[in-house]
Amino acid sequence: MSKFSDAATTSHTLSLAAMEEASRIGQRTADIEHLLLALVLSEQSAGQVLRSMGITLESARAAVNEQHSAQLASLGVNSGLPPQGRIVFHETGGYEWSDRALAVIKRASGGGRRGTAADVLGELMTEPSGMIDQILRRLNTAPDQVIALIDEAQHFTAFKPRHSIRPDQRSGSIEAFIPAAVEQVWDLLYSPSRIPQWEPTINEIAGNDPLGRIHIGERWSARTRTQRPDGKQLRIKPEFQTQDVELVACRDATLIEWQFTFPESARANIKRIRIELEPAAGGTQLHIHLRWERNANRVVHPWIELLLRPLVRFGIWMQLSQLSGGIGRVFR
Amino acid sequence: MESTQITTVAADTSDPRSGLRAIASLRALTERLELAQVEAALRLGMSWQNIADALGVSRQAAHKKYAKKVDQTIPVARRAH
Repeated sequence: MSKFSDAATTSHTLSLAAMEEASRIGQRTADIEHLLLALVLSEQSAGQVLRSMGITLESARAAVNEQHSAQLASLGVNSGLPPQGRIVFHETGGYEWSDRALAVIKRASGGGRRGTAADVLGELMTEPSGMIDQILRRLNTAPDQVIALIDEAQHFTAFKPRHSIRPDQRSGSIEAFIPAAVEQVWDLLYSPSRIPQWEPTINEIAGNDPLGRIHIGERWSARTRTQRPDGKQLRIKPEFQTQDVELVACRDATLIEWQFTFPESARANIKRIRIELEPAAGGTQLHIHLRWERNANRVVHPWIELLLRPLVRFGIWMQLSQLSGGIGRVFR
Repeated sequence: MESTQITTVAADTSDPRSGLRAIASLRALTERLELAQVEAALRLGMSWQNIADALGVSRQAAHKKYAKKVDQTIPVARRAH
C-alpha cells in the first residue's frame, strides 16, 4: 500500500468519525477534540494504544464535555452545555475541519511519515493550545505517556496495512473497531431484521426474525434503499429494488457471512459480506470482507475491466468503509 | 449569573492562556446554539429573510452559512428563500 493511500484512507476514516462526533453536539466544524475521539475509535495501533490505557469513547466524550464546561465556567457561563444527541452527519452537510485540526493531520504525513493514525495521534499530543493536554489529564494520563506508548507500539509492531483491495477479483477487506462487546455486535450482525441498521443498501427486511436459531441457507426478502438519509431520492432501477438476503456462513460470535442477490435481474452480480469478530480492549475488532461474484450471464471485456480497475478499487473501498461505519454508528 | 457578573469574570485576564482556550469553547458554544436556533426557526416555518433579520445579517449571508448545515429532512417548502 502506498504512502499516499495509507494517508488518504486514514484521513478519510478519521474525518468521518470526527465529523460524526461533531454532529452529535450540533457542530459542523470538527476540531482537535473530535479528532481525539476519532482516534479513540481507530482500528489502527493509535486506537489500540488509547484503549489499552482504559480510555473509552464514553470516558473521552465525558472528558471533552467536562473540559469545555470548565472553560465556560471560567468565563462565568455556568449553565452547562446543551444535551448531546445522536449522530446526524448523514442528514446534514457543510462539515469541515478547523484549521488547527487540519494542520495536525497534514503534519502527520510530512517529514517521511506515512500519515497513519499513530502519526496523527503523535502530532495531536503536541498541539499547542493545551486543550488536549487538559482533556488527557481528566482521563488520568498525559501527552508524554501517550507518546511513549505510541513509540513502544511502533517499535514492536511493524506497520501493516489494515485494508487490502483486489479490484481484479472485485473483493477487499478492512479492519474496524466497534465500541461494544462482542455479544452486542454479534446480536446486531446475526439478526436479519437489523441488517438495514448497518448495510447501507438495504432499507427493509420482510417479516420478523425467527424465534429460534437461523440456519445456513435461510433466505429473507429485502427492499433496496431508495432514499438517502438526507431525504434525497436515489435512482435505483426497478430490477434492483428487491434483494434476497441469505445466510451462507455462521460461527457463534466469531464469524458471519451474508449473501445479497437481485432476484429480478438476470445479469446482476452477487454480493457477499463476511465479518469476523474478535474481542478487543474496550470493544470488538472486526475483519470485514466484501466480494462481488460475477454473474455467469455477463460478458467479460478484459480491456474495459482493466480500465475500470481504479474505479472498482475505489468503489469496493467505499462500500467497506460504509459497512464499518454503519456497524460502528449503531453503538455510538 | 447576572450578565454584569459574567463580563466581570470573563474580563479577568490574569491567566490569558486559559482565558483564550475558554473563548474558543465559548465560540464553539455560540456556533452550536446558533445552528440549533436556525433549525428550530426553519421547523416553525420561518423564512431565511426572517431568520436573517433576527440574526442581524443579510438573507444571503444566513442562507450561505446554514443552508447545507441544517437538517436536510426539514421540508423543502419551509426552507424556501
